[in-house]
Amino acid sequence: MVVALKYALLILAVLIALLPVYWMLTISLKAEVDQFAVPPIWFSFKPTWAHYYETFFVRPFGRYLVTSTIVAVSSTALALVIGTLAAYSLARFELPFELHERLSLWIISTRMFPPIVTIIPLFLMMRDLRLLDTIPALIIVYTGFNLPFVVWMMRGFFEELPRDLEEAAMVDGDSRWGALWRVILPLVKPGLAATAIFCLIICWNEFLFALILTQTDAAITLPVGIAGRVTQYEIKWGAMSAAGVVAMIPILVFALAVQRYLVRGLSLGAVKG
Amino acid sequence: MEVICEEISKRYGSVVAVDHLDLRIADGEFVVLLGPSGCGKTTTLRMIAGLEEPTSGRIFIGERCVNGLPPRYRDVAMVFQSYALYPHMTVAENIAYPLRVRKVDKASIDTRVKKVAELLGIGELLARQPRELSGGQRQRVALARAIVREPRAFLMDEPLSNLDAKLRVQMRGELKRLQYELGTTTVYVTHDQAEAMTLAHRVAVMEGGRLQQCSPPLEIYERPANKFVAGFIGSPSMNFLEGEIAPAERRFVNRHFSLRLDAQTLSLLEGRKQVTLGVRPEDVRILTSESADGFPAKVYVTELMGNETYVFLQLGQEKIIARTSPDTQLEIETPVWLSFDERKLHFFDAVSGVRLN
Repeated sequence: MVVALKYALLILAVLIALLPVYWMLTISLKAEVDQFAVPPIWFSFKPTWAHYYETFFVRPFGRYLVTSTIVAVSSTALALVIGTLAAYSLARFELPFELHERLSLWIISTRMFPPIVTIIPLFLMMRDLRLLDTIPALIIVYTGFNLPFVVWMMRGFFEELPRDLEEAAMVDGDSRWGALWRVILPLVKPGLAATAIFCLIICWNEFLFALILTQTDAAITLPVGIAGRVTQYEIKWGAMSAAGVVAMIPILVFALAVQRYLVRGLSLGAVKG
Repeated sequence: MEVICEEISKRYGSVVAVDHLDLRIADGEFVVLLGPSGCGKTTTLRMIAGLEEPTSGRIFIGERCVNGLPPRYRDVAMVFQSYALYPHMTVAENIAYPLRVRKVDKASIDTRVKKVAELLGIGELLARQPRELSGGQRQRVALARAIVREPRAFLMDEPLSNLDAKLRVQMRGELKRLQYELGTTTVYVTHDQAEAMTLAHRVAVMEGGRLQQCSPPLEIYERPANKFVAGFIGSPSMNFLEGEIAPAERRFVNRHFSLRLDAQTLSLLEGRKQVTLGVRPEDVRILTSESADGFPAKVYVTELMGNETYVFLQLGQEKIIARTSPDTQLEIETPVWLSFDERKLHFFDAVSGVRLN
């Protein structure tokens, strides 16, 4: 009985999570007359590729997709490199006056105010740097935005690893960099994967900064491009859904690819019997 | 290689972990740093390894002063209490690691790894992951990783303390044999006096960051330099009895008994008044009938250990432990007479605890 109830609840949860995805998928394939039919058409409609054609061949969504990919991948990579090094230092080195703790807290405190309050200063800075409406502007902003999360998440993973491991590596003849590269980083791979997905999703979905800092097709990202289909005269539901479906795919693929690293437990057996 | 600690100290803020430690370890010598937890023995080892920098003093490995030198240039090998095997590498990769980072060519890495693995009897385990190994096997892999590159010295931080009692005794013997065969200078940290006594050429007893005594095991046992060493080494611990020297009567006088002293001891104790007498449990003799030189006591309780029996005795307010043969059968509250083996008495200053005789 309890088991049956458990499964019923799980199925319900899965349905709630997947229903919008299904609805988006069908909308993207339905002719406009079918989209808002009452009662709703769940299964039996004549699929059409017209919305996909319009989105990717008439409008420059292919370009937005490329921009989004460049921005998300570069800023995730940058944030991971910088943040991981910072996190390792903060996890391993003690500074006088508890500075390592204070520094960590200061880093996360940059995420304690709503991001919108930074929009005007960022806009002015990017204007003065002549970076408005460019891809680097978004990469810089997203990197800064993600760094606190990377530092905090990775610091937790580093602190779980016994110091003995890198000390053994250093006594064995490795430098600290070598120990980090050959011993520590392979062991925090699951953490890196989890952090990377997290950053990637945030960058991929980010709307506010992209909307303010970009204006033309040169730097517009997918979320802004999709929102652009809400126009003064009409809302292009079919086109928006088609773009949404395509936008979902890269993240899904990446999540599946790193899934095996997300399973923890690699470091079991490292220490003690 | 010779390892020399010259007046090294380590302070963390106001805490003194190691206090002016002077220790010369000869080439090929096996020295055990022994002491209770927090005595500074591990800190000393980590300073030799280069994982900590001494606040003051100098450390030499061979001819070279290694202060400020990162661990990798010191060419010492360390075995950690946790073994610290790299969990993402196979046994072979673990053992090869010190050679790999030194850019030794692949062919000679392979032969050396095989040779060391054979020596330690883990030849069949080379393809395994550390998590698939038992505690004893992990221990051997950690040793193999230390041995493989023929370092200037081995540093071992309680390497046996995670093994079960039986395996520990076995590995202890193997470790001793291994060090004998390799002839590599070894510094070994432990809080287990049995390990210290069995393994060491010399035992360095530490307490409160200070070196208390550094001598061969037998000398540590028979002539402890102070009351701390005397009480720390030996199980059950040495009995301590406070008293005074009465020069006129040539006796040591306690509240409950007095003891005749020979001329030599008396001359060494000349001018002293308050002293502490130390007697090891095996030097306490128990007589069941009254004797002229015995003093009366009562059996408090006895503990049968199988190969020996500990008799806890009540001597007035004092409690004394005697180690006797297992044939001794004494009921609680039995009146007995005690005497001490007078060649094996230890006298310490009542205040400073320094050995007097």
